[in-house]
Amino acid sequence: VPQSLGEFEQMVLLAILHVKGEVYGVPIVEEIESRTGRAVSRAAVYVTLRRLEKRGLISSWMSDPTGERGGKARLCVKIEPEGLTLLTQSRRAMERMWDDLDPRMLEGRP
Amino acid sequence: MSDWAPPRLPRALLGFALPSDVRDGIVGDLDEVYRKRRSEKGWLVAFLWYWGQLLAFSLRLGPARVREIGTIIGSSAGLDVKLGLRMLVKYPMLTIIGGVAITVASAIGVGAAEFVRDLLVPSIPLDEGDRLVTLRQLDLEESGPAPASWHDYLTWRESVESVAELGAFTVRDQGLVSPRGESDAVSVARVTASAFDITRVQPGLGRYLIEADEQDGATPVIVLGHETWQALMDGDPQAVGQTVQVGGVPTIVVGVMPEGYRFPRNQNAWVPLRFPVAADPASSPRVSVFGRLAEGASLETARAELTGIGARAAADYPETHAQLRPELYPFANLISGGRASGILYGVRAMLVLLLMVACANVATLVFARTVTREGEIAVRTALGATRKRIVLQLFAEALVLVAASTLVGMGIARWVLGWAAGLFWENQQEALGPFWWDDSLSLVTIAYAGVLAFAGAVMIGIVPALKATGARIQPRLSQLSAGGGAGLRFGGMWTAVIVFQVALSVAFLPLAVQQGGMVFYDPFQRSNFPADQYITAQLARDVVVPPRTAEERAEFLEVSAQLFDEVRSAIATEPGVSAVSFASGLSGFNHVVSPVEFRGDGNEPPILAVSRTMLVDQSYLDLMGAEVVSGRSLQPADFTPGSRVVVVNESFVRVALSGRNAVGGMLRGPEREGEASEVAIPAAGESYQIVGVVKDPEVDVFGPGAHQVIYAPITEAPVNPGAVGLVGMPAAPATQLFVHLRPQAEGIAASLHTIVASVDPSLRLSQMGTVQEAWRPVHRQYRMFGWIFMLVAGVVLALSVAGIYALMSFSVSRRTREIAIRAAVGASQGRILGIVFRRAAIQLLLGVVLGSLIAVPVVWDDIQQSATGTITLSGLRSVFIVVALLTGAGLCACLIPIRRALAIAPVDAIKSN
Repeated sequence: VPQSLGEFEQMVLLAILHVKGEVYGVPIVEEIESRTGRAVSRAAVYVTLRRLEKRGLISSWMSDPTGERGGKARLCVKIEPEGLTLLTQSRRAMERMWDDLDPRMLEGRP
Repeated sequence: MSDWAPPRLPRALLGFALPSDVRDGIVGDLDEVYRKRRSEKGWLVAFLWYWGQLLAFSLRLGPARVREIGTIIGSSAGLDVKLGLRMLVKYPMLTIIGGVAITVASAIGVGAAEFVRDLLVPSIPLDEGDRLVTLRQLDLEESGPAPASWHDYLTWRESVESVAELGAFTVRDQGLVSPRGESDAVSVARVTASAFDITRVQPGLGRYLIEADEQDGATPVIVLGHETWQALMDGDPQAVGQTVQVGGVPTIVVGVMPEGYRFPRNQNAWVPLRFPVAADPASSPRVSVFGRLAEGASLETARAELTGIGARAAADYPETHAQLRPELYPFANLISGGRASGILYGVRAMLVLLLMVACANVATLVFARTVTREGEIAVRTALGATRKRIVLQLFAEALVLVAASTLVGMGIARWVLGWAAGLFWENQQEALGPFWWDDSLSLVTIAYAGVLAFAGAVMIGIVPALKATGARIQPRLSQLSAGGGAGLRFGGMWTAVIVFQVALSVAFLPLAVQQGGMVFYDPFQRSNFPADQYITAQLARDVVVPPRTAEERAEFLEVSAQLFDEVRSAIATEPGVSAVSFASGLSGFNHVVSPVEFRGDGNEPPILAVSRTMLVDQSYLDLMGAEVVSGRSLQPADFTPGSRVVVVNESFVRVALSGRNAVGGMLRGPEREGEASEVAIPAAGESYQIVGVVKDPEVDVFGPGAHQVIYAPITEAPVNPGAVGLVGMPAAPATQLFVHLRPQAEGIAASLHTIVASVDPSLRLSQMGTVQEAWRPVHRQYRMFGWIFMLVAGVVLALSVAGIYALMSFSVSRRTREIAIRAAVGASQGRILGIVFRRAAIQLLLGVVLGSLIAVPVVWDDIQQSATGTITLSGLRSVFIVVALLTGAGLCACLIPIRRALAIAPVDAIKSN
């Protein structure tokens, strides 16, 4: 059973949830870049997708080939319940870490 | 969005670099993004971006792809190997002939490569043995190595820093007598005490030599090797402190070295090397110098340092050292003298050549088989198998055959190597090989054979497979489905291989037939010579301090001669001994070989020949039963210095003089510029009269009459009457003793050691045995070569016959339809035979003619000798035998295909097609 998710893995999973319509590599990358405001390595995204699938957190299938992609099909993905659970747990773990912090510390005041 | 396609090359590379599960998805995504970028930012940006993506994806997903390819190869390789094994069973003749050919080629190649490697560049089984080095002088005038002197050793020991420790040694066989009176000849090293520190081996008992043992006046001490300790002292644990006789000198045993320690080469006892401090380099004794490289020093740094020291020595001692340059090389190269690489590469090249010749021939057979599977290949192609897949499968099948054969070949090489090495060292008159000798196959040789096996499999598998899966597979499929003969042809390349094969057989087999004769020739069975009644041994006299001046040397040889005479008298008085004799060597080998010029009594021009000379004493010729054929034998009056008479054997008259009358003729040593030899008999410029001709020895290891021999009185020895060198070499005062026993007196052999030791303890008898035993190692070696020749000849012949069979078989199967039609329209059987046989006959003929062109010059000498009418036509005869054999075998190979062709029923054949 997967125990935790890295920051980038969380981003990829969240991007999958955000994307409307067919979820595959191109919109996932765009989603992360638009929301984080920084460029990400496309290869890193695919490697992460492959790893998440191997861990059973997402599943994938090939769509029908389309002409606009040189006859290549899209590798579509969707998040699995285990993925959702782990994502939620990761968010809670992070929130607990933020809890009870004195806001003045975050503003740099003593 | 526009229809811009991404750049082809990176896209293709990407397809190759990505794992299959994500390949389409990623390539499609990148296509999509590329188009978008190109429309927004232009071609160049998009182009560079795509290459960047290729790099990024290859780095991140490349390892996964490599794992995937490994898995694919693993699974298909298993299947291919299974298919390959099935093919071995399905085509047994090809498996046997091809397998034996590759096995023999790899066994000979691997065995020879390993043997030469062990001989020339072995690894030394001592602690950091690769840092042991040998130092010697290079004589620039002679362009060859020269031994170092004791003076050099002392100089180097003081000045060389790159070699941390230096030692020196000399070796010689010496008689050792145990405290209980048992004697044996042992190879003794006189070494500096530093030798033991350099080799880093501790004694098994007692101590090893120390510097105090080297001092003048020190008690003589000896360290025994494990084998000598076992043989002479029965492994007595109390051996240390006991006294043994070494060359007649009482010597205390101070230690015993552990088993296997035979430094520096094959020595089994060590005594201190004692020389006075040599002020004069000219008279300084010769020694072998060795050492261990200092920490951090390399061969190069040591050589550079030694070069400087050599230059100083040349300046200090111009008379002796001006032309000398010290050189240094790994101790492992002791035998090769650091000049091994050429021979090693030569032998490896032979391995390549042997294996490639075998594989080229097997490839012919495999191609013929592949042709018979043409239908299978075409159908598989039609079902979607790629050319690559089919070629890989055929390669895997070939690899199974080659790998299995090479493995068997290596196994045989490993087995034969131990045997051959034993024989080799026996012939070198060493009971054991040097201490570093290792019969096992080295990793380098195994890896080399592995690479060659792979290359062989490529030749056998890939080349025929590429031919059989060429671009015209589709038309071939149509032809097959239409019932016609397919398009593959037994093209020029394969024809050339068969012609070459037949030519090779004709060229090589006569030699093999001649050499193979040695396998069946037993010199002792065919002769009436009672070889078991003759005992022979080397008799030598050891010295504690070798004579240095000419006077000392003359005195030493004089005393040696007297002692040898005493030995003769002592043995002759023994009951059971019929006669005793001395000669310069054992008949058949160990002769002085020198050029001679014969002048007859007429006006005929002189004849120049090369002959072996044996120095014999008065009783030798009678002892060996060498009856006089013409003239007279050697008489007592001939044994006075300066008598200048010799007798020759029949073979000399027959071969060297072409049957001319020898008696009364003169033999003269021709003058040779710059080649003064002190062992040539007759010496250059001196003349000897031939007074008689004696019969060839009844028994000869190489066959009757194989040697042309001049028998000269022992008093003509260039060094000293009576104390001749083993081969006339002045440096080795030794002689060959022959004792003729009366019947049933063999037991006396055991007491000869004692008789000799009783005359003088410094005398040593070695390599004792009957004449038959003395000859046996040489005979065994020649038999081994005979077997190898026969084996290779058999393989060559089998490959030729199989090649012809494959060609004929192929020809018939390709022309079945044509033959059927011809038969249907009334062609006679003879006509059909002509069609089938013509091509094979032409190739056979071509091969025979080509091969004969090579073979006849090789055996031409034999043919010329036959002009005298006394020598058999062995050379020419073997060519005829081979041609007949090959033609017969070739015809037999045609029989089955011809029968098949004649049995074709026209209607059935046309119908089935």
